[in-house]
This record gives sequence, C-alpha cells and structure tokens, in this order.
Amino acid sequence: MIKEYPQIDQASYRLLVENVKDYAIFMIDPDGYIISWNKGAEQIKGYTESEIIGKHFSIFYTKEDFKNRHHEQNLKMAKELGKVEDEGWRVRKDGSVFWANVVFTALKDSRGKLIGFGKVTRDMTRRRKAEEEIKRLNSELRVQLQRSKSEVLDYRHAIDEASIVAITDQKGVIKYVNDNFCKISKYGKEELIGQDHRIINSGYHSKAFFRDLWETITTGKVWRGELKNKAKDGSFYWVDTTIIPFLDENEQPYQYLAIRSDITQRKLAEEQITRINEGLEKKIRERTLELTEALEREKELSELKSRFVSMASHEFRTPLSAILSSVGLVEHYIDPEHDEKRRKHIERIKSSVRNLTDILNNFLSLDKLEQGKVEVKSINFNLHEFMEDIIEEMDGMLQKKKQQIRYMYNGPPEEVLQDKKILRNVLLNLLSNAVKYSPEEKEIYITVDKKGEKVFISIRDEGIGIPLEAQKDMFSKFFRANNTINIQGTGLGLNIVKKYVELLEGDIYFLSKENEGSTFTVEFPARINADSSQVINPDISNI
Amino acid sequence: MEKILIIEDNAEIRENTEELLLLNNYTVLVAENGRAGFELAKSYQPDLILCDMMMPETDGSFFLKLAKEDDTVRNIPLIFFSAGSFCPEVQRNLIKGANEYLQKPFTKEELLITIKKGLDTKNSNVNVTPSSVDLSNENDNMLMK
Repeated sequence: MIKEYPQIDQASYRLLVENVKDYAIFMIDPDGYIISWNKGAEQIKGYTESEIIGKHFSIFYTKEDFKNRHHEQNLKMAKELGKVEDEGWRVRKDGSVFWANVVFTALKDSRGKLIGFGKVTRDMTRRRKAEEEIKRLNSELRVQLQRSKSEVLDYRHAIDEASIVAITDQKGVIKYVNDNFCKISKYGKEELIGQDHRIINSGYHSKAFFRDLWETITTGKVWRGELKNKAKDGSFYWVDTTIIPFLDENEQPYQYLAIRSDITQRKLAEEQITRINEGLEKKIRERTLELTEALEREKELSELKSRFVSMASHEFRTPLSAILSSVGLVEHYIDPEHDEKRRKHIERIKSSVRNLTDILNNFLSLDKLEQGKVEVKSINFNLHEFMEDIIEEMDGMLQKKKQQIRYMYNGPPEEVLQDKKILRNVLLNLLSNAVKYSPEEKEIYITVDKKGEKVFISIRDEGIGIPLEAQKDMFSKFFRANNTINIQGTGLGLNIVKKYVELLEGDIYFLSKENEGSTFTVEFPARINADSSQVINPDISNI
Repeated sequence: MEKILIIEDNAEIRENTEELLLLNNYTVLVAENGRAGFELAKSYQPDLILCDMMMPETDGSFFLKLAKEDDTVRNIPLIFFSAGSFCPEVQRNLIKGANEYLQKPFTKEELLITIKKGLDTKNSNVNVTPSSVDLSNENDNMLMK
C-alpha cells in the first residue's frame, strides 16, 4: 500500500531551499538578475541576501569568463536546452575564487513561459584541489618514472655499450644478449636466445669450478671470476665475469645478469709471460747444470794437475837422488884402486842425467805438440829392422825386471814412408808402459801386421790392466788410473803418444781387463801423405 | 856394528845407499818393497830401518802398518825418505809414525847424521818427534797445503 504523503506546502519548500547550507540555490530572472537567495549561497558566495538581490548573476563570473560572455552562453543554453551544467571559477564577494559546479534549470510556468532560471551551485574547490593535486602528483610521478626509466635505460645502454652482457633465466637459458656478446662469441642473437648458456663452454674449467659457480649464484650471491669461453668458430676468449642474480619476492633468483669484459689480450700476455718465464727457468736450470758440470770438470782438472805436479816432483827427485848419492861416493873413491867404482858411479850419474833429460823432453814435447810446433819429417825405412832396433833399446829395462819380448813381424816387406823419430817415441813409450805396469818375469808380445795400405803394431802385456771406469780417460792429459797410485808416471805419456800418432796420420786404441793385461794397437798408413810432411833424404837425416 | 835395513825400490838409490853405509861400517840389509822389508826386519831385527814411502805393490804405509802390529819390529827406529807423494795427508801420517824423515835428494852427510840420531833414539829409549823434516820447499812439497 503506497502511503500517500501530503504535499508539502510552499512554506516548507521555502524552508528547505533557504536552509540548505552546502548548496547555493537561488533564482535569477530571465535576464539574469538575482531574485532569490539561500543560506548556502551566502556561505558559498559570501553575499548576504540584502546585498545580492537585484544584482546580475554575472558578477559571480571571473573577468575572463565575463569577457568571453560565458554567462550569456550559459543562459542561452539553459533557455534552449532547459538545463545546463557548467564548471568553472566563480568569484566570491571578497574577490577570492572558488571552483563551482553550476546547474542552470529553466523555469517555465504552466503556459511554458520562461519565468527565470534556477541555479544550483556547489563549491567544488576542495575536490578540484584534490583533483588537481592528484593530477599534479600523477604528473610528478610520471616524470619521476620517466626519469627513472630513462636512467635505467641509460645504465643499460652504458653497460651494453661498455660490456658484454647476457641475461639467462634461472635454468641458465639465454634470454638476452647485447651486441658485444654477439661480437665476441661470433654467434648471432637468434643463435643464442633460447640456448643453454653452455653453448659457449670451452671445456677449460673443471666440473668443480662450475659447481662452485652455480652454488654461489643460486643462493643469491654475486659471482666474480675469469672464464675461458669458446666462440662459434672454435677460437677461445677470456672474460672477466660478474654474474648477478635477480631475486624475486621470495629471495629466489629468477634470472641472472652476466656482465663481462674481454681480457683475452691480458690472458694471452699472461700466458706468454708464463711461457717465457718457464723458458727462462729452463734455460737457467740448463745453464746452472752446465756451469756445475764445468766447475766439476775444473775441479777434476785441478786435482789432476796437483797430482801431476807432485808426481813430476817425484820424477825429478829420484834421478837427482841417484846423482847426489853417486857424487858423494865419487868424492870418496879418489884412490886409483877405486877406479872401477868411480867409473861406475860416473856412469850412473850420466845415466840419471839422461833420464832427467828424457823426462824434461817429455814435458817439452807435450808443449810443442799442443802448440802444433812439431814437424813431421818422413823417411823411407825398413820397418822390420826398425822394430828390432827398438827391442834392443828396451833390453836394459827388460833385464831389470827379468821380462822378455816375443816379437812377430807380418808387416810390409817393402819400405815404409813415415816419421821414424815420432814412431820410435811412440813405440818406446808404449813398451816402457808395458814393462812398468807388468810384474817381473812377465812377457810382452809385439806383433806387426799389414792390411791394405795400413800397418798395425800391437803391444800386449800381462800386467795390471786398466780398470773399466778409467778406460775412457786414458788418453787425457795428466790422467792416471787409480790402480797406478804407487807406480811412478806423469800421466802425460799416452796423451803425447796419441798426439804423435795423429801426426803420423794414424790411430791408437786399446783393449784391457784389470789384472789381466792390456793390448795397445797403433795403426798408420805405410806411406804417409808426402804433401803433409817433409820427406827426408836418408843421407842427410840426423836421427 | 849396527845393522841397518834399507827398503827402496829404485835400484840406483838402493845400491848407492848400501854402498855408503858399508863404507861407514854399518851392516846392511836391503829389500825392494814393503813386504820383503818387513820380513827382513822381523827375521834380522836391525838396529835401524830406512824406508822409502813410494814403492809399487807394497809401499811405506804397508810396511808401517805391519811394523806397528809387530812387537819386535815396532820399536826399531824408522827413517822414512821420500821424493814426494800424491797424498800429503798420507805423507804426514807416515811421518808421524816414524822417528825421522828425509827428503830426496839428500847428501851423504844428511843421511849419516840422521841415522846417528835415529840410533841414539833407540839407545836412549825415547820417542823423539822428527826434527829434520824439511818442509820449506815450495815447489813440490804438498805438506804445507
């Protein structure tokens, strides 16, 4: 059932309109003069009723709006359309402005005749201010956002330009690469995007290395290091790499940003330096070894020289001793009855002097040989007779030790052309060695052979032999094998012999076993090259 | 007549020394190496021994070792003579083991005086340190190293 409300009377309407404080509700006549007022209007516009009645409503408009005849437009529109809503600045009594929302309503009587307009004005200033503030804030925010975006873009641009950049998702699949990345890896963007980052693995780093890398970044920490990667063409490059995990709201990485710089040159330089260093170190090691060995040799030589000097002194002192003691005895044997004894000792003195002279000549000939001052003078002679002479010369030495020579000649029947003096020195030296290093009553075997154009003379003894470790040094200067400690000798003999044999254009070698004996063989051409030596006429030679 | 044993491998020196000693009324025994020398020393108990240091096969060291180990030989006065050797230490040790030392070449006077000294040692029963050691020769004497 619809309750019927009694129509309110005019007085109540008046009450309603007059007392509403938030809205200015008033009437203007068709020309715009204010004919009613309410409390709201007073509050909003500032005029009291008595002040405003009869005034034109255009006084509420700003100078600008008035100039533009805005008020007239509003009236016109209201008249034509029946209603118009407008928003704009309105002026208060005190001159201040407020933002108004105004509704014009055309009021017509029952006959349709315009009797005026109803105006309802709301002060929208606060709202407008708020709106303006929001706009302003929005604008500011937009600007800030723009700036931030711009800054971020600048950073990104800078990084993109300066560095090699790649972004992978949390699984390591490449989502983005910059141009520098493409340039250094030689892949195109389309070849990289969507690929697992392992595409650039070089195989240089160990599994443990990558495990450590992943552990670092998957726990949200930044990883920094140097990586060796492989480009599309198989070449390698080194990059200084920083990988930054981007964390979501759960602190879990959702993507990884890798910023790299090319350090290939530096690495290459480093590798080169390492190689050079290693090379240098190797050279140093080698050189040190060389020097150490040289020092060793020096020491050895020095020791040998000392031995030689002391041995040489012994060599001199022995005959000198014999001379001095013989002299002493000669002094005693002055009577004629001691004639024989005197002569014996004088002979002894002479022999010792010869001995000394031989030793001296040995030293001197070594020097001559070393200086290349020995002249080779070849002569034609009968080798067999020559050998017999030599054996005879050795007789004295042999007798002392009761030794014997066994001699066999299978050499050339015709004459040979060689330096007789040098050959004699060689053979005497070898034979006296055989005597010296053999015990008493032993035999010494001499054989002469011929093969083609060469003569071979071998001398075999059954003496102390040469220890294996000494054999390689036998022809070295001053060298003496260690089983000769108590036997006199200067260590020069074989050195001299070898040099002599070379002058004969021959060769010398030996076979030996310790405590069994040695066989020395000299070979030389039966006819020495006449150009390289002087051939002596036997008539004028003086041997 | 005192008995002197000469141990020396070089024939000339051995013979000359023997001759000299005979002329000075000594009885002389000779040996050519250390072993033979020791055998003679033991058998004949000389009053003095003259021994060369460097000989082939059995040298002065060899002789000294045998001598020191034998009660009858060890106290016989010993004179070493030498023309120098390889090892100065060996030489030094040998000299320490002897009563006297002579360097070759030596004059007959030097030899006779030294022998007298050695014999006096025996008679007075005192072990005298060698006084006639000639260490001043620079050229070849390695003792001074």
